[in-house]
Amino acid sequence: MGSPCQLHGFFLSQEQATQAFDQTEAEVLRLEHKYSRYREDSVVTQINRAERPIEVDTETQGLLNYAKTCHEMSDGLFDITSGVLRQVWNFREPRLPTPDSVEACLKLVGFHQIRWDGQMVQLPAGMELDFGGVVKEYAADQAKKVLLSLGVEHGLVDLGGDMAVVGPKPDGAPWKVGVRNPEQPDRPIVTINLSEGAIATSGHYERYVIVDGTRYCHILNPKTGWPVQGLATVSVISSQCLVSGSLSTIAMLKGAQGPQWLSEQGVVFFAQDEAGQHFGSIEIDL
Amino acid sequence: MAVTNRINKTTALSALTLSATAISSGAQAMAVPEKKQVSVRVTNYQEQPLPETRLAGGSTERYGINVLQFSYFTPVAGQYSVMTTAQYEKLSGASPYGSAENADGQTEVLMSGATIDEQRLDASVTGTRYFKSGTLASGLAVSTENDYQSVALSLDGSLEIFDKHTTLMASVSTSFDTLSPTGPKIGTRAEADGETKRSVSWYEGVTQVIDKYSTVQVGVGYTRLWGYLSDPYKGDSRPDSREQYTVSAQYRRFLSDFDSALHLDYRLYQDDWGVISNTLSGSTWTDVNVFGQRIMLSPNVRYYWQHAADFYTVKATTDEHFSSDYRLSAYGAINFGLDAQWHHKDYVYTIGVNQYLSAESWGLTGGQDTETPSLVNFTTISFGVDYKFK
Repeated sequence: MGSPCQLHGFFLSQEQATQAFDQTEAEVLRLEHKYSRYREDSVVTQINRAERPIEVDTETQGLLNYAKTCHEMSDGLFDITSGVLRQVWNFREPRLPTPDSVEACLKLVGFHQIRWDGQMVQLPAGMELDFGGVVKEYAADQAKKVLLSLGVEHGLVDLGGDMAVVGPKPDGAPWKVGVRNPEQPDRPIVTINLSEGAIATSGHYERYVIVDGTRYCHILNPKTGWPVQGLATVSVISSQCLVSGSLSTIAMLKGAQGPQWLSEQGVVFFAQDEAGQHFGSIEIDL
Repeated sequence: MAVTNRINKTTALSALTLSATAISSGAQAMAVPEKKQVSVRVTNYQEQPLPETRLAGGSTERYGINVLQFSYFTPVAGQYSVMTTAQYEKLSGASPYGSAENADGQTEVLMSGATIDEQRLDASVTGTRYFKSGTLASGLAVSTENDYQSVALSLDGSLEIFDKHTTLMASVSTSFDTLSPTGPKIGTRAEADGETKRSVSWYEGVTQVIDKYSTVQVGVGYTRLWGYLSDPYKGDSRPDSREQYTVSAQYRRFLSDFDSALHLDYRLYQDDWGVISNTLSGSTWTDVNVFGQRIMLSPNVRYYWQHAADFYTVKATTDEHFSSDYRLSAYGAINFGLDAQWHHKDYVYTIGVNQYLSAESWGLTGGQDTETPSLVNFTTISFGVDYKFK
């Protein structure tokens, strides 16, 4: 998944613990392989290389439908075809792409351009799907389901900061989840008590370059081809990690309008903008 | 206006939560259709004229029917769908009164002289609820023409078991029809005016996936009708109840070498009027690429034959029940057809032609000595468009 993954839990027996670790690891790896851009045999590679419409399995159908809903609900900002912009944006070197190259690449971005009818998918030549924005959060939800099916009642799945709570600690106490401080990412800016549900965080500090004093982060607006600006970090809490993740990403993509939009959704969130101002229904620790 | 806006507003949270919940990794959930669809079809049905030598009077022209069909399908709230259909039919031409023998021992047909110009309007609405492993649908259909009105209700369910390899289906329906024959109110036409007919049917079937390429479906059905079942225009006399049984089987196979699908169907029908019939049909569906467009072609053939009802006769009789309606006689029929579909973006354009031929002696079994001079041959041609949209 590209980041450290942890499982915290209280188990009834050594056997349950072993099963829990083995099966959640297997499920997370299954999803990582299935939707990996780097594997020849992954579903996403098959879709990206297919020349004719191809039929996809139910799980992929569900994720494509979900991605489509995100695309619509975010006025087109959340777009799983925006991965091709990787070709012009390289966050390892402090260099910006030329506007022409971004324009040219933008022609290959746009979820509305692909053919998806609920069963068959076909991409126009040059376009690619990238499930990177959904698979980690989806995997957290799936790992939680695995644990529930094993009878685990107290646990938390943490996939690089995207978390799903199986249940509070045995004494009823919540898990303490810290949201990284964008200025000092190894310290929390706020600690949240989570007994249930899921939390996901998007931030401009994960991958970025600074050119002429301006930060350009890895979250790219699919309509302009350029990184978003406005918010430094957004964390959203909801019943599913997948939903939390998409909402936090969409909020980042909406920039300054992000917090307002999240308030309208009626969802619990925390956000900090680039000026240091805080938003959301979660109180911060100082 | 404010109230409507509030109700219609879907937050991203609710939409995403619903969509995320619908993702299924293991056993497949019921695929709820995503798109709306509008379809329009026009069909022309033309019976071939009778030979004049078999005509006892009237016109040689038979029925011509033009049909316009419209349907609208829409998913609703993620778990439901609604299908509404409407159909308008204009019939014109002559229908046989009934057949009788002439002096030479040949049966002749009496045709109504005046051209019958009738219209019929049908409408139906069906709602379906999709569950994780099944569906439940209920429908209402109405039909009205100048001499006949009908209302029908139906309930259908399906359930997928054994990891979706087996689907159980059941349906039950009931209808209520009222007759009001046109033309001079004499004899059976006067008798039938205001008469009613009812029916109850049920059907149970099982579909089984055999392997990656083939499926089989078998089903049994039963229908009971009662009320005024005779034909007021033909002046016949039929029993006031009828019990019908059907057994059917369907086989579908994908032929990967030919990029085609093969459909084979068989149906056996029997009722307590003595009618027994068999239907055998086959068709193939093939995907072809014509100038870069996706075209599906389906040639089909159907062979049908039936035994006569116990009381079918072309002679005058004093029996309590009698009918010379060709549809209750013994005969065989063959239908050849060709359908084509052109898939283009969100549209599917269809065209279909059929030729139906029938004769008394074509039945494999159940042949009889009496003749059925008024058996029809007909041709149909239809055009249609389906449009899918979000």
